[in-house]
Amino acid sequence: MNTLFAVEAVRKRYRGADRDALGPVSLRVEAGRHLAIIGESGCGKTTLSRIMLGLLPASSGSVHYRGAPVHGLRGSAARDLRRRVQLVLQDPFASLSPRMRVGDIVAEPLRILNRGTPVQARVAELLAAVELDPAFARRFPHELSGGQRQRVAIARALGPRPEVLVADEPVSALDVSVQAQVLWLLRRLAEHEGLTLVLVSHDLGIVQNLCHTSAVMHRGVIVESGATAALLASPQHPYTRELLASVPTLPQRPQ
Amino acid sequence: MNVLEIRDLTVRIGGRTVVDSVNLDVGRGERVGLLGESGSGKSLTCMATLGLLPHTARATGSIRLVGEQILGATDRRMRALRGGQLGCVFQEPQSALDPLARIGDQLTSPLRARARISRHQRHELAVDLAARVGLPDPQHIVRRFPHELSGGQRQRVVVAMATAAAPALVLADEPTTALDVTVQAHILELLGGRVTETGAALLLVTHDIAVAATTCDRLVVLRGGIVVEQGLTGDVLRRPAHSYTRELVDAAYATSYTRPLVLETA
Amino acid sequence: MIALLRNPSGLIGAVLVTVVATAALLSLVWTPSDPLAVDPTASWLAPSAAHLLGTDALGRDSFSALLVGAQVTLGSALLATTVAAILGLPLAAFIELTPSVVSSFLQRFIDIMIAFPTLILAVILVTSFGSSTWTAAIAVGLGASVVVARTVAPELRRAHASDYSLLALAAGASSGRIMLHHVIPNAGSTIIVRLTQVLAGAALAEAGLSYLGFGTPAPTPSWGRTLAEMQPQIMTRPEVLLAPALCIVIVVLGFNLLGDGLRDTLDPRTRRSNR
Repeated sequence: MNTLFAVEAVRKRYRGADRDALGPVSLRVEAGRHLAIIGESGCGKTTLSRIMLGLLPASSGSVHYRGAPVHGLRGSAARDLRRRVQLVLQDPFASLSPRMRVGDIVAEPLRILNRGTPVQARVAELLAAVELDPAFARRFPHELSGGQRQRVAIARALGPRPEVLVADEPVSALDVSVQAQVLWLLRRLAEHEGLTLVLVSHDLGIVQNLCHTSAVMHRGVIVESGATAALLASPQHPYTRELLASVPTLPQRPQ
Repeated sequence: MNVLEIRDLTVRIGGRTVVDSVNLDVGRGERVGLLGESGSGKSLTCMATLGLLPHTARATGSIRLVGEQILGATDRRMRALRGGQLGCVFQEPQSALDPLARIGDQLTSPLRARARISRHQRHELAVDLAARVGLPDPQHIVRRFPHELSGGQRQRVVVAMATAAAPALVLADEPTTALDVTVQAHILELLGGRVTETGAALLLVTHDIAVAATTCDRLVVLRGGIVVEQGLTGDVLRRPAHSYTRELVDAAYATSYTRPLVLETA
Repeated sequence: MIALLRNPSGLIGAVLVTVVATAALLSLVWTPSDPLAVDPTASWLAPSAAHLLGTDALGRDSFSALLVGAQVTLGSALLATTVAAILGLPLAAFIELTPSVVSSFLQRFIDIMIAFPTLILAVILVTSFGSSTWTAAIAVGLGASVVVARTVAPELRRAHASDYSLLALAAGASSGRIMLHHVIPNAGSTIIVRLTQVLAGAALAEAGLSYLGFGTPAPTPSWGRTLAEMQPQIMTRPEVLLAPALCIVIVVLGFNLLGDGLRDTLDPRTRRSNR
C-alpha cells in the first residue's frame, strides 16, 4: 500500500505542563483511505494534526511523509510538503483574514507554492470547484455566510493540488443544512481530485459519512483504531463504547 | 391550562422583523423542542420569554406564563419569575454562574429569594441539591467556586438552580452546545430527569435535531422568524410537511451518526 | 478616502488638520506681516485690518506668529511620531517574535520606561543638548515609542496566533510574509489609531514644553510660548490668550478625531460595504 503519513511514537509535552498532552501515538495514513481522528476536547487530536503537518514540533518521536521527515524541512523540500498537504480549520470566521479579499485569500498558497501559475484564472477555477460564483473573489470574508466562507477555505486549500487535506472539525461550526452541503462537497472533491482526507473531528456522524478508517483518541493516546464501519459496529475499548452510547441519534428512518 | 402560551409574538430590531407572528404552546409537563438554524429567531423568542430582549428590540403580541401576561412585565416581576416559575439554562455555564460566589450559595439562591432560610438549613439544602444533580462529593463541592469545576459540573449546578424552586417551565437555550458529547449525554439525561421529578415543562431551544429528538415530545421548527412546522417529534421526523423541514431532516440524517442495526461480535 | 470623509469624526478631524496644515504651508511662503518684526510703538494693539489678531508686547503681529507656529507644532508632532513609530513598531514586533524569556525581560524594561515621565526626559535632554524644537520632539518621540510598543505588541500577538496566520504557515509562508501580509494589516487599525494619538499628544507636549521654556526657543513663534508671553495679560485682556489656546485645541482634537475616523473606515468589517 501507498503510505503517505507514518507517525511513530510521537509525544508532545507543552512547556510548563507536568504531563504529556499527547502520546505516544503511532499511526499511518494510506493513500485514498480517508482517516478520521476522533476525540473530544482536550484529547490531543488537534495537537497531533499540527505535529503531522510540521507546524508544531514533537517532543519525541517522528513523522514521515512519503518517507521524508516533516520536521526541520527547508527550502524546496519544505515547499514540496506544503504543496502536498493542506489544511482546513473549524471556524471559517477566524480562519480567513478579515483584511484580505477572497481572491487574495485563495491565491495566497498559489503565490507562495506554485509560482508562475496564472493566479486569476486558477482562483476562478477553484471558486467554481467549490460551487461559488467567481465574482466572490472581490468580496471580503465578512460579506459571506459561514458556509460560503468554509467553501473559500476549502478552495484555498485545493489551490496547490494537494494529495492530503487535513480538515480540523471542518463543519462543526456550520448550520446543519450547510454541514450536509459542505460534507458532500468534500466527498466529491476528494474523489475528483484524488485527495486523501485526514478528518479531525468529535462528530461521529461526519466520520461515518466520510472516512474509511478511524482512530479514537482519549487523554492523548489512540485507544482504538480500524476500519470505521467495524469500529462503530463493535467498539472494543470502554471509552469508544461510552462515546458511541452518548451520541444523540435520530430514530431509524422508515425505508 | 398551558404553562406557556405565546400568541402572535413579533420582535423587531432596527426596522427588521426577526420574529414574525410566532404562536407556541407548552402544556403542563410537556417537553417541546424549538428548532432552528442561526438567524431563525429561536434565541430571540427565548429571550422575549425570559424578558431579556435587548433594549433596541420591540416586541408585540402576548406571552402568558401560567396565565400571567409577561410580555412587557416589569424587570422586577421578571426577576422574581426567573428562578421561580421560570427556570433557565444557558449555553455557557461559565457565564451563568457568579465567579465570586461559592457553589452552595448559588445553588440555594433561588430558594433564599422566596423564603427565610437559616445558615445551617442553607448548607443542608445545598448539599441535598448538589447530590440530586449528581455532583461528586456534595459535602465539599458546595464550598468550591465555579472555576474549580469542569464545564459539565458547572452545567449541573445551573440545572440544579433552574429546577430548585419547582418551576412551571424550564427554558434551556442550547444547554449542551458548549459541551463534549459524553458530557452532553449526561446533562440531557439530568435535565430530563429533573424536569420529570419537579413536574416542570421544558422548552429546549436547539439547532441540533438529534438532541431535540432524544429529549422532546413535540418539535416547533422556526425559520427566518416564522414557525414553519410543529408537531409530535416522530411525525415531524418521519413525515415533515414543510419543504424546509424536509431539507433540514434530510441534512440531519445525512450528517448525523446512525447506530448500526446489527452489532457484530468481534 | 471618500469613506473617511463620510465618517463624521473622520470628516471633522480631516477638516481641522487640513486647516492647521494649510496655515503651516501658507506661512512658508506668505504671512500678513513679518512675525519677527519688532515695533515698540505698536505694542498690544487691538485687532484691526492691519493686525487681524492685534500685536504682542514687542509689537509683533499675532496672526502671523500663529501661522508660523503651526509649522513648529506640525513639524515637531510629525518628528516625534516618526521617532515613536521607527522605534516602537520594531520593538513591538521584536517582543512578539522573540522567545518568551527575552520578551518578558523586554516587557519589564518597557514598563520601567513607561513609568519614567516623558516631560522629565525632555527637560533632561533639553538641558544637556540645548533647547530646540527638535530636541524636545525627539524626547517626546522616545517617550511615546515605549507606549506604542506596549500597546501594539498584544495586537500583533493576537494576529500572529490567529487561524489565518496558522493557515499561511501551512501554505508555506515565511514569518516575514506572515508579518507583512497578515499580522501588520490586521493590527493596522490599532497601530494607526495609536500613532494619531501620539501625533495629538506630541502636539500638546510641544506646546507644553515651549510654554515652560524647554521647547522652541525665542524668537521662533510657537503656540506654547506665545501663550506664555501673553500670560501677563490674563487679567487685563484675557481674549489675547484665546487665539493660541484655541489653535492647540484644534490641532489636538483634529488628530484625535482623524484617528477615530481612520479606525472606523480602515476596517472592512465596519466599513459600509459598497455592493
